[in-house]
Amino acid sequence: MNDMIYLDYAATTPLDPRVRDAMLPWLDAETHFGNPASDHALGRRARAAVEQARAQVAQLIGAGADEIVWTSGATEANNLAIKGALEFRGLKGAHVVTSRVEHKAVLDTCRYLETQGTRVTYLTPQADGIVGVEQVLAALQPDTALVSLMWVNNETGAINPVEALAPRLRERGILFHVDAVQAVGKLPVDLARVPIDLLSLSAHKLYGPKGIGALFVRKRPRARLAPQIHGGGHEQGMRSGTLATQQIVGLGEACRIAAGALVEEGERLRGLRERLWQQLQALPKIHLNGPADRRAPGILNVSFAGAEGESLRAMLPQLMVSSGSACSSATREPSYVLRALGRDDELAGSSLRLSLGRYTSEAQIDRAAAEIIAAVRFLRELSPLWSES
Amino acid sequence: MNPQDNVYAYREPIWQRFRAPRHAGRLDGAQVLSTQAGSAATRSVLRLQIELDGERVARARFRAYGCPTAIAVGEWLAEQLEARPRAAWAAIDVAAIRDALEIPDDKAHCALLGEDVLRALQQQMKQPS
Repeated sequence: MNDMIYLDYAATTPLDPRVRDAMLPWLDAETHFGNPASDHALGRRARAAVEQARAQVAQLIGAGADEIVWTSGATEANNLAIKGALEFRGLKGAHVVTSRVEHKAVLDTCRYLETQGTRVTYLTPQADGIVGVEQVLAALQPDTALVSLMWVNNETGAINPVEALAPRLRERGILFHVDAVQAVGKLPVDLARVPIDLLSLSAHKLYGPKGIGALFVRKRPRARLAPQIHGGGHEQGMRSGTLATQQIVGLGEACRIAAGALVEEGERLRGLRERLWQQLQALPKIHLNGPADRRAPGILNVSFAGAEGESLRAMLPQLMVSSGSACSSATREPSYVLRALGRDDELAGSSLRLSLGRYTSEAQIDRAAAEIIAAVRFLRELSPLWSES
Repeated sequence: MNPQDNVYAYREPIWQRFRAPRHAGRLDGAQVLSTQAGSAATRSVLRLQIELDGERVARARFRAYGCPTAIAVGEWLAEQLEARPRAAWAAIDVAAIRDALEIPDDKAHCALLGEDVLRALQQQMKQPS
């Protein structure tokens, strides 16, 4: 396992040892197991930890602590934001604008809403993967209730202009939900300055534990949601269920750590990513998927013409990367994101998404580049279709 | 080759030939016959070449664009054409290829690609040069 190179940080991140240390006491069976909703010493102790974590999350994104609602992760946060906002307003007759390259947690939620009488417009991004402000504004209708757009695309790293879009939607009275899973802890996010109404985040994308996330729900002006999980009225009635203290503490600590090195870490990752991209230039006919500039620092998505996707992946067993190709021909479905950007099936299938993170080193980058180059050359040389010209 | 490298659990006869093909390459010359099957659109192309020495196949080589199974089919065919007399080629069909390489149902089209390219080669050998 020592030879493995993990370049799939956009899929999930390892738990930071500092986060683990912060979580462990909350698994103690004698002193730290209280229910944060209980009004006694053990309950109050847990409640204090939960509220400290809430403040840490809020701090990272420029929000108020009372604007953070705990969820099981970003999928639930996206469901709560979109379904909750629409249900509160009335599902029928409402219109929603989103994009074709959102995470499935947004797309499938929108498809469900369509079965309930909501109309949805799915925008196709520009060729570089970015959904432009004017594109969104042009899609608005008189009864548009909500726009849901991701801050950073998980496959290409494209950064959408959500900061410029937010005030334009605010002035029209349209709710704005942002899936910020790939942005929080990686790019500066300041909700005190940017009038986004609802924003989803997840702990396991920022070196926290799996199974915990949060939805930012703006208080001023107040974004109103119908709860999607009913029960004991936790989280201001928006999300019932006993709070998972140890997970929440982990998310808080992960946010604290991320806030401490946001800019420096971004610069370091950008440098490593450019190093990788430069080395891959040894190969002709490779294509960058996503924008050259407005891209999250840790993500590099490349199509390798002439190297079939499944074989390319099989040639790189030491490399933990995401591939645009599915492994079975029965479900051979190239990335819907790359297809939406206009890549044909073949180029979408021959893509690798390399995502870098906190524990990525120069040595790993150099080895990854060498292995990819060797694999692509092998497959191209083997191909009767390949020509360098 | 590290056995742990077979992360996606390809059957051994496929994996060995994919990772270390011994008959990949191209042949040139008057005694060389070439055939090709498949299409880029289906992401599978197999090219088979043989060099004849009278009735005998002196060398067989393949090139392939496709998944590991398609590449393994190319390698296996080249092995067989060098090893088996021409009279025995008719027995090489989809079932025989699938059997030899333990090709699962969802990759059956790779075996078909193999049969197609071999039949095309046999057809070419029948034609007067």
